[in-house]
Amino acid sequence: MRIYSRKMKTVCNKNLDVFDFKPDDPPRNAIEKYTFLETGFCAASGKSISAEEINYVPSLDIDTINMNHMATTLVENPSVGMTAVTNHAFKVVKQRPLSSIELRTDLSESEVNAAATSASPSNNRLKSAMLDLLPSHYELDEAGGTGTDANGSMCDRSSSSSDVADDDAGPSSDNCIDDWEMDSEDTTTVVLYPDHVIYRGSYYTDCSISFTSGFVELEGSEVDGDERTLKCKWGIEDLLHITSHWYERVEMAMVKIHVLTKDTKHDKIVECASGTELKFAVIDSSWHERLEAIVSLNKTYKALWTSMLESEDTVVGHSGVSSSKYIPVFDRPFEEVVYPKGDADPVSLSKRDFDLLQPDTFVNDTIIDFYIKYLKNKIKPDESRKLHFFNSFFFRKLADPDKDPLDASKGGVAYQRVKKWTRKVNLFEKDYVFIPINYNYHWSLIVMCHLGEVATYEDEDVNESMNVPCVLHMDSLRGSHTGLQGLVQSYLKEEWKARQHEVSEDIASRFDNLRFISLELPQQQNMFDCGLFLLHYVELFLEQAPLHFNPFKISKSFNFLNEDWFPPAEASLKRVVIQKLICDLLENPNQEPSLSTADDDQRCHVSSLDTNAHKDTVVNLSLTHHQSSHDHKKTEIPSSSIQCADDDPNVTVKPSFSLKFNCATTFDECGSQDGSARDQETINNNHESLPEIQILGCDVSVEVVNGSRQLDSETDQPTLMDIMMPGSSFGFLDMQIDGSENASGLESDVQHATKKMRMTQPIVL
Amino acid sequence: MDNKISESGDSIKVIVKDQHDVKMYFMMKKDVPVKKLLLDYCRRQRLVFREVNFLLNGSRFQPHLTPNELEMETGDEFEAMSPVLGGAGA
Repeated sequence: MRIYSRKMKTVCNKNLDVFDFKPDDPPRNAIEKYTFLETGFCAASGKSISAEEINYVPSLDIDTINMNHMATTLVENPSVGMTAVTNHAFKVVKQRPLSSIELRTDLSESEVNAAATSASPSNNRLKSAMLDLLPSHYELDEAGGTGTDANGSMCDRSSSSSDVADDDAGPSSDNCIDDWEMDSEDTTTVVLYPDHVIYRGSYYTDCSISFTSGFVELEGSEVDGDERTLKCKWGIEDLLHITSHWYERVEMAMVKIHVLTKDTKHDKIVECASGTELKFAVIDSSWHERLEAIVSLNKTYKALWTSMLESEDTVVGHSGVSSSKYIPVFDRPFEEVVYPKGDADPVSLSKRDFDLLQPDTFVNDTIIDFYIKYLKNKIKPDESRKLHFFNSFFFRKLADPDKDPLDASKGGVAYQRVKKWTRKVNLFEKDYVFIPINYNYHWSLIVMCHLGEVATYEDEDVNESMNVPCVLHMDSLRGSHTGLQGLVQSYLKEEWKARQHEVSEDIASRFDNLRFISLELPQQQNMFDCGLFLLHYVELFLEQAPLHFNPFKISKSFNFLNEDWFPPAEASLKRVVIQKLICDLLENPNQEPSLSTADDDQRCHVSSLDTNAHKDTVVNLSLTHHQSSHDHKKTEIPSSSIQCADDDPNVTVKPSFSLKFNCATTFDECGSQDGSARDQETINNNHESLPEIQILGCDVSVEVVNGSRQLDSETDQPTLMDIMMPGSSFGFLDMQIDGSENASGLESDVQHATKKMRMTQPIVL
Repeated sequence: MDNKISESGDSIKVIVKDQHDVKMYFMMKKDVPVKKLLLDYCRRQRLVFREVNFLLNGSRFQPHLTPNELEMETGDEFEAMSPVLGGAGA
């Protein structure tokens, strides 16, 4: 939110400059506006303040910023006078929808690709947070109106936008939302206000994109530049094609315009067949009306835009339609689902947890623990005795969020913190110990194999011993959880020391060299599903892990723990699987939920709709359950949750495959593989992967800085809750925005995405 | 102070820790649901009970049970954890 005040300040300064340069015109304008303001506010205060008016205020204020910015850019260009400014302002107000509140707040730094990933619940919350802020803005305006404030000029300016709108639309100012058609001038222009635009690899903020019947005009200022402004204008004949994708849940449209760029110096068309790409995202609940308006400007737009409009229908559907397509349709409120009933440490699921299974949402500890519990209960008791599953808080407790969370030298302290956790369990008697890792808002999985063997295991046994003690790290965003090795090793060492009555320093020190293997596994294709990948890793590992697991026997040919272990969409589908589990639990609370009975009938049809000649690959997944209680329930997952990355369109999409939740691979097969000749080359390969851990470890310092900051804020629960109150947590949001200011280029793709996630994160809580 | 509980056969001394390992000690009767204690803790710490995950010695548990049912003993630790989420971070 601080971004407001900062911007306002700069705007204010600039305006003063403006007035200095043009001593004649602006004062007159200012006075004019001042009077307008008075009347405007009188009119407003004369009426009882209705909800619309309150809503109106924010859009006003926000416009102010934009408009002022425009004013500065225009004045820098000497050929344009102040009248033009007012005209622009006029248009601005007329054509902005109420949702412009969101436009300003939500995505100010987000990257276009990642914008699709904005967690939808945050929208509403942000909006309400914004509304909380309103009064102060309102007062500011009033102060400006009386002319006593230092910001007077700026506020006058802001009022100019309001009064023009008022003047035309009458005192009931909510008219400004939809009566833009009333004005003849406005019908010829549709202006969009994306928070930023990516054009030729640069980011531009404070952008406006105007569509008229003859041309498209872009204005914006460069993010990392010296406030340079960009003004581009393309005739309609220069447009190659326009694609837009509407994301219903976040009320956002992603638009890509391919334009032919003319080199102005040589006046020849730059040789680039696909043209230059202009990308931006618009948050606008009335996007479809806006689109209609643009298309109605000129038939050419329609021609350029048609294909995507159609595909929108088939993939997501127009507003209001698609929301009902999510499955399961489950609106019944429930208090709590306790699973497993009668267990010593059951997981209680609430409706809130359940809602996290909606597409494009982060999953929380409860979902993770619930599904792991479910998997554990599926295993026969005598087998599950050889396994241990920590809950999702274990790592949080182990890694001290207050200090350097991954400091390996603190193994002793870390052990003390979780001493009680392992009071009743001996990790060294287990075959496999699973630890869900949550760190930096990302889930990954650690599997510790055959820890008990550390004492007896000799390095020369690599090929001979059946059980190789090791720690496997499974990360669906490989590289995002680095630096875990030291902490895990030193923790195990302490744990071992505490278990043994006579500690042999020699054996204890072996834990320092315990193999830590960062596996190359199927990677998530979006920014939401890592929790589901974690669960899928656990599930498949449990199903497929041989009795005697040896990490050096993982081979490319054998589809286990490698990059082609499973198609990534399979993990994303877990949302539906878990939803169904919970629904079953609700229906039959005393019955063990099961998906396995329907295995053979569960098919996943993946059809790839190559919507355009573009790289966008949209996967339309429909999952059909054939089960007695759920007869032919058609399910659809919105494409956004499984959409493939732009760059690798073919990576995961197979034309059609049959998905079985219980993989056909069984212990027996693994066993036979086990017995087969050991592939020396594979062993070498795996050795080669080991040094990479060290390389990745170089990132640690950066990671940790981020991490501790993250964890700090994350742990401070009350503060995060306070974010809804005005004035309490601006520092937090501000920090996020500040941090990404100097980001540019490709690298910031990722940064922006995560920044935004963090920004919305506490509100999701 | 008539209702002061002494450490005897029917009551135990338990610890509630927050995420920063700041401890708070409680004496409680063994036949009272632990939820009562946790609600009290939340009130003192200004937490919302529903927003906090409590763990007993590192495990989830059902707060409507009593220490007897949970087989608790003196020195057992509750830990208050805020929910953790993750999708893609770092």
